[in-house]
Amino acid sequence: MKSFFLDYGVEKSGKSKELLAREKAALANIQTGSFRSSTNKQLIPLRQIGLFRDKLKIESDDKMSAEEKAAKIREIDAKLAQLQRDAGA
Amino acid sequence: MKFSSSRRFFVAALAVGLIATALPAQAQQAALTEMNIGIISTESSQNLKPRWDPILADMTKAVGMKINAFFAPDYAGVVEAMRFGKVQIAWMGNASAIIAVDRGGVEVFAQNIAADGSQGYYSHIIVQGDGPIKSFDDLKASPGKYTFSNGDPNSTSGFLIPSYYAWATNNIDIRKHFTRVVSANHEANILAVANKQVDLATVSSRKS
Repeated sequence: MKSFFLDYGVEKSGKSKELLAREKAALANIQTGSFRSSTNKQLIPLRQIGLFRDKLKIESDDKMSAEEKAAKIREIDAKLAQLQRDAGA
Repeated sequence: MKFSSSRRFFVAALAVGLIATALPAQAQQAALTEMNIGIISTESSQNLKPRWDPILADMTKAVGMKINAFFAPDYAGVVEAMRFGKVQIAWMGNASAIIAVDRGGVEVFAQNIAADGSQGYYSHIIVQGDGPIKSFDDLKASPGKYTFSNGDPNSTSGFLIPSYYAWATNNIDIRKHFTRVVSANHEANILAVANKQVDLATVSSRKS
């Protein structure tokens, strides 16, 4: 199934020009050019942005005590640091 | 208006708007006779189905089993179905994919690339083409020197991405680093730099 997606709409030996054109048209229907192999790492930037957004929210929260704020921010910073390591791994 | 003289810095590419396809580990082992694919899109399924039909037909031929497509407006049902192995493959955006991976025990295995080769959009910091700032390092090394027009606080590409990738990760507090900070939408930011009202501003590569 994975190779089906990765080969779809891509030039390959043995694939006729007609078939390639048909595949490209089918992909254009779903606003896609082609596929490339990916992993869960693809999601890291969005995870970082989400955590950062949470951090900004906590920092600007007037109702939260200073200790609670510090604890929550430490927690987020630890998660961000872990994501940074995951991204490099 | 001429933008050709403005200089753009690449800040970060965010895969938002990209589609992840997820495959649960158990699907690889079990001998399936048919497969269910979940397609998450805000578009109505009457519009979506005819667009997907040609690919689904080719998929059926390629894998030699029946493919049933389910169109869903949000992730909830699809993630649940994946968790119980009722849906083996899904097409969704990255925000939904995070939930699918965390709660549904699935894995991203492919990413779509636009016909023009792009994988999403970019957040940019723009500066005056004939101005003193030549690189991001110039910006970093010059506290107290420049004025900045930030994006709207609700904008992911104009505010959140540069706030994290350009400023926070470089330990820059924009309120201290720049002599003046205002915020405006992308279009107003482009004009403010072009008219030399500010030294730098954030914009998105996304046209909309």
